[in-house]
Amino acid sequence: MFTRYRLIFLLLLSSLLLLTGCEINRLKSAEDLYQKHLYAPAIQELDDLIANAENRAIATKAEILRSNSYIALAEAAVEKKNWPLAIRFFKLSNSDAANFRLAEIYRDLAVEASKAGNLELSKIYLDTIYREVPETPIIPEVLYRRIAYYVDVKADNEAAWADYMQLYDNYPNNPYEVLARNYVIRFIPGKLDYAAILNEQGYYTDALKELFEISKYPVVDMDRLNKQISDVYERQAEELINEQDYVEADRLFRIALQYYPQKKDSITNRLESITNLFIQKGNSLLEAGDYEAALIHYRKTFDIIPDYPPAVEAIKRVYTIQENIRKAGELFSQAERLEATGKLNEALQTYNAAYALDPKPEYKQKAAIVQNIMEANKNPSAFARRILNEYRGGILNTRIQNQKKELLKRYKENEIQDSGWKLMLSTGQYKYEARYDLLTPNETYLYVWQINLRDRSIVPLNKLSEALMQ
Amino acid sequence: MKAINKILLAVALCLLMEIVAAPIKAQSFDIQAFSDTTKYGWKNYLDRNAYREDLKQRQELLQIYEMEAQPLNTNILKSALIPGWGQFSTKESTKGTVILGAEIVLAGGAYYFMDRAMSKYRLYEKATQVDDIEKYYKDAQVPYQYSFIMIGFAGIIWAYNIFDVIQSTQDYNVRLWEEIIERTQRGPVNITPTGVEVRF
Repeated sequence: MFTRYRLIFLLLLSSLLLLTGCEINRLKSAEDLYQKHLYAPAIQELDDLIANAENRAIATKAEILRSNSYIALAEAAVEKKNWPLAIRFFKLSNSDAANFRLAEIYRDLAVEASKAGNLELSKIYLDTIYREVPETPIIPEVLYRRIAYYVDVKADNEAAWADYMQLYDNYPNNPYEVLARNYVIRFIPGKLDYAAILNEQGYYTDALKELFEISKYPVVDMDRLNKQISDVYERQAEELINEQDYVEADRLFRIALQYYPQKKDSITNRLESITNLFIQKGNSLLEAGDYEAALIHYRKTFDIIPDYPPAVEAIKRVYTIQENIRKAGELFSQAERLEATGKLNEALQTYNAAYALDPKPEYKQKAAIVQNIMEANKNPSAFARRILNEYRGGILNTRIQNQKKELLKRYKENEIQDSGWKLMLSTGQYKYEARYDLLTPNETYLYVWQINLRDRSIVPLNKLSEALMQ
Repeated sequence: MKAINKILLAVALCLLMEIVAAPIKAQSFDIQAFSDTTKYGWKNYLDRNAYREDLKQRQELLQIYEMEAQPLNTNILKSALIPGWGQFSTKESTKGTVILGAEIVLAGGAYYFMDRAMSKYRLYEKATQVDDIEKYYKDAQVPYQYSFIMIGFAGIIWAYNIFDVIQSTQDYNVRLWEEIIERTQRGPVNITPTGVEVRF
């Protein structure tokens, strides 16, 4: 009786285990198949488990095991030299290890194709490795073979250079990189010539970009390269001299010298000649009133020739001018105060002194106004009359007299009434009104102007007067 | 008993189907289809790369999973020794409490009735009168049967407990993997309902 119960219990327990623990059991079953080298059944079992497993951790384990199973099948295909099948199995394995082996197979096929003279097919295999398995350790070899193909077969130097840069950047001094140099050295002179052409045509940035790019790789005569870089900077500096940008030109000459110290003599001579150019440029800036820029240019000469005497003198001159300007400003302010307090004679002298130190039109104008006011204060009508007489060389008097002569042609002298100049005060300080009337029985000419004694300006007050002034 | 028969029948059918289906599978094996590189949905190397990267990431997570997963055999052993223990391990505390409680009640009840039956039985053995003999025998029989019924129920719950711990462990492990994946997909800093969570 007890045995029967125990049997039922054990059956129940094992059934439960079979029903519920099947995912783990199926994985173990697949592992057993793998251990027994039954890879295809193991893969089929694993495919089914991966598709249906509720526990994705177990599915992940199954995927890893499936990948290993495919590798085993692929290696078996490799042993039988069944390359297409091996490639397919390695692809299905889809692990890093499988990918590396896949790259090796492609490499072997590329070498075989190359030996058989089918270079295009060989290139296709190499491209496939580079595209699909870029992390494989045989990439240096792949790049080397591609460089050889580009140089020998296609004469595509740019593609070869791009591959070489990849090769050196990622695998410097790798044996394949060292071998690849032999190919690259063949077309480097052409690249240097191209950079020289760019320099001659004024594409300095492009030329430097090209040269600096080449300079990073051990495939060039550095002496020649540095000379070319120096040439580009020197040429740029000469161009800047023509544009009168001596500061930048000086900087570029120095860079040129750093790259190619053999040019020391010629560049030093050129730099010395720049000192004179600095002085000239400084002088023109000084004339334009840009004192700070002028000082920068004068001082820049000291970088080339310390205590260069013309520069020292020029700097002194700038300081003197700046001091005079400062003093003139002060005198001008002082003169304005004197003028405001009515000390016109002293104000005039101070304005003139300010103008002597800094010939600003503003100072001269103020001095003239003060002079006018002084004269206006002495005898305003005489001053107003003088302004009328001196206006544009006495044009007003001349034209009025001409007008009178015209009238005399048509009228008798006693028929013409000539009022002469009549001066009277006008509205506003230092303003006078000047009138001149020519009267006939039929025609009347009434001229009237306003004279500003402060600035000696004359303003016509009717159309007839305006016409006379034109 | 009928339930046991049904389960056994199902197992037998499964085995039979496997035995029958295996040769059919073997006969239909096609090497071209088997080695078709697109059969897993990878149309080109980019698809293969994407899958490979994903698998590598999951492979790294497997280490965490192995550390945190509940071993099935251990949990079965735990629940076999103390019903409900395995469920507690898989964070199914309510279920574990109910199972453990039911087992204690049933085992306690079975012991109580057995004790009563045995005391009546001892009286029955000592009785010399026919009436007493019959009376004590009848009195001993009823609690004896109750005791067996309770033991039977306890056994059924124990068996269910074993079945359940297998399910619970598997469910726990499934949830654990999903949680690990979710944890990795989240950044190191997350805003949660309880505050800001920073993982180092």
